[in-house]
Parts: sequence; structure tokens; C-alpha cells
Amino acid sequence: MTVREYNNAVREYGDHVYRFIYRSIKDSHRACDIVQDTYEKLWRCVTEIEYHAVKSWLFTSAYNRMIDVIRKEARIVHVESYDDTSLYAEEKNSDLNEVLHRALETLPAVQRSVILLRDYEGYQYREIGEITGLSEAQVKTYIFRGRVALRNYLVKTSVWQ
Amino acid sequence: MAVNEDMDYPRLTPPDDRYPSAGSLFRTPHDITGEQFDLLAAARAEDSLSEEGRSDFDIIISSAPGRLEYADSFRQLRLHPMDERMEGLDSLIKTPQAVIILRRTLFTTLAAAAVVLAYFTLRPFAGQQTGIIKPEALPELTIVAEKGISPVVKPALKQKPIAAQPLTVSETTRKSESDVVLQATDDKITLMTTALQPAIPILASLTRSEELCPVNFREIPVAATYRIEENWIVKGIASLSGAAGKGNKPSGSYIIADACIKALNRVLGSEMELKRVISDTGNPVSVNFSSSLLSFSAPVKKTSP
Repeated sequence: MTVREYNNAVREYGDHVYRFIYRSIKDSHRACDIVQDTYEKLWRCVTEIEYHAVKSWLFTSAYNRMIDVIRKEARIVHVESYDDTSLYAEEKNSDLNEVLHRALETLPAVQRSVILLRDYEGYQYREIGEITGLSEAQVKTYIFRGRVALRNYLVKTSVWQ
Repeated sequence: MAVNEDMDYPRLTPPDDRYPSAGSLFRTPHDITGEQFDLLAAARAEDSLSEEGRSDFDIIISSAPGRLEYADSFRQLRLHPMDERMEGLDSLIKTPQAVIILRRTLFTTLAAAAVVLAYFTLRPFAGQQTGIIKPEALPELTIVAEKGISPVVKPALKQKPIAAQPLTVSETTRKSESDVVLQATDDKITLMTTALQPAIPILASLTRSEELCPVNFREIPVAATYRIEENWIVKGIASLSGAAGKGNKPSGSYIIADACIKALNRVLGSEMELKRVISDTGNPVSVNFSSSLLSFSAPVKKTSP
């Protein structure tokens, strides 16, 4: 990959990676740090990576870095332990997309990540599996369970009947 | 269970045992629970159902048509990216090394050229002081003597007049009345001005000092004589810079050039330096310019006495 291709990767995928990480951990500063670390890592091995594979490489590297950060700070949020009662009051008047993003925060980190990769980036199950290190079947399971959890959240908050 | 007769490789042969109520374990699509249907509907919304899965789903829907709407609602569960942008993303963009070198070379060369140009252009002007006025630029002076009044004679200047010339009214020059003094000797009085450096002494009269009257000066306006100003742009900049500072005193060329270099360093991040070498007596001797690409030393010419 050339310098020009590297810069293209920054312009083209920088915001995508940031969005994915930010929505996964809900911390803009840490998301910025992770994206910067990821691109620094990419820059160090810029000559070894082909441009056509850089997007997948970026997401994989950023995801792994994010998991490291989450494990390090023990910030994994479980559905069972997440207190979302404070959100219910404002959900009825919110846009569905916003509500879904808030519902996303109630999901476990892995489910959140695979759904974001699926919805934001349109990755196939196999590609999501390569990024997250899961099997294709596991990816499907996490996505389907995540969808059900999102729907249950909407019903629970009376956004949907 | 029986063991075959080949004792070298003994193998177990499965017996013909059967589960007595296997039929009760079979399920139909109608036996799918609500949670299972949710997963099925989620898979359908993802277009991930297999052929058999679709047929099962159709069977369920056929028995409970209201579930189709429920299953379709899963298609709305799509997250769309919010308008979130990473701050400082441009800082991750790398500049090719060749461009960096070219840019540094170009900027440094331009900066050095600007400094050299500014220095050599401003240097002659820096020597001019506000007090220096050329005689031809001053108005003519007329001396009018009144009879009966004793002359007021100021003490002579400490500085010795360079030369004395016979009094010619039209040639008498001054800057202001206070600048004009009379130097009295035994039988000669010399009118001279202190403002002019060097002083232009004037032989006022050859009469005796007691016969002198007070001298009143009256300026006779004359047609302005314009001189062609050289380097008027640079002089204008210097004058403006002086006016912006204290005392309307024009800035020296070194000060202007040094300020230019510091500004360029701040803008471009370069490391150029302009240093003035001063002798033991306190007079500037030379100016040294140094940068990563260019360095030179220029001697300072004295333009003032």
C-alpha cells in the first residue's frame, strides 16, 4: 500500500471505524485513541498490507484493540445488569433510529459489535466472523439474538406494541 | 453386544436397541415457541433463512396470519449511522517524504530570499535619522534687524564651526528659532544653527557687537522642492512600523528582518536565525543568517556618523 492509498484509507474509512468503535464503547475520547492506535499500527506495516484488504484489516485491528481496552477497564455491559429504566421516559418521543442506538447500548459488547458491522458497514457473516474471530454460525446467532433484544427493548419502552 | 472374532482388531458391534417412544420427540413447525419464532423472524429479516426454514416459516404463518406482521417488524430494526465524525482525523494523514522535502526547500529558499531582500533594501534607510535635514530642503531665512534694541547674544556653541561664510540672507538656513545662535567675537558675529549637523556657520556681520539689534527671523515660504525618494515602498513600511511602535521612529533593517524571520519560523515551523554581531565598542559589525539550507554573513555598513 502506498502513502496515497494509506491517506485514502484514512479519508474513506476513518469515520467508519470511529463510528463503529464509538457506538460500541460510547466513549468518544477512547474511540479516538483506538482509531489513532489502529492507524498508527497500519502505518507501521503499510507496505505489507494490500489496499483492497485494508478496510477489513482496520476493523479487525480496531475491534481487537477495543476488546483489549474493554477487558482492561472491565467495562463490559451485560444486558441483565444494564439499568435502562431511566431511558424509558424519553423513548416515546424519540426517533426510531435514536431509540435503536440507545437500545444497542443495552446489548453485550459482542452482539453490539456484530450488529454494527452488519448494519453500518454491510459486512457478510463470514467477514464479520473474520473481524471478530467468531465462526459464521456464531455471528448469525449473535445477530439474531441481538435483533430480538432490540425489538424487546422497543416493546418494553412502549415504542412498539 | 458382541465381539467379532478378529482378535487382532476387536470391534464392538452396536446392538439393535430402540428408544421406545421416539415418536413423541418429533416436532412440527406449530410447536415452535415464541422465542424461537423471534429468532426465526430475525433470520428471515436478514434473508438468512434456508429453504427448509422458509417452508417452516410459511407453515407457521399459514396457521397464524397475525404473526406475519410481527415478523415483518424485524425488518425495521436496522441501525443507520449517525452523523458522527472523528475530530482530528486529518492529523492521521501522512505527507509523502518528497513533498515534505520540496516544501521545506521551497519555503526556506523563499524565506531566505525575502530576508536577504529585506535586509539589503532596508539597510540604507535604517541609517537615516529624523534629525538629519539637508540644507536644500529647508526654507530660506530672512534676518530683520531693529534699531535701538540691544542684541541678545547667546553663548557660542561648544562645537567649533567647521567653516565661516560671509552673510548672505538668502543662504541663511535654520530649523527653528531656538536652533539659531549668534557667536560673538571681537568684531565678528557669526550666526549659526545647532540643528544642522554639521553646523553651517554664517558670518552675520562685520559690524561691532554693540551696534547690533535683536534679530527676528521670518520664514519665507518657498515653492516645495520634491526629491525623488528612493526605495519609497520599503521606507514607507519602515516608517509605518516605527509609527506602530514608540516615538514614530523608523525601525531598523535588522529589527524588521529579525521580525520577519521569527514570523516565518512560527508559521512554517522552520529554524532560521538572524544574529547581529556587535563589536567591543558596541557597534554592529556584521549580520549572520543561518538555516538548514543556507547560511551567510553580511557586513554592516555605517551610514551615520
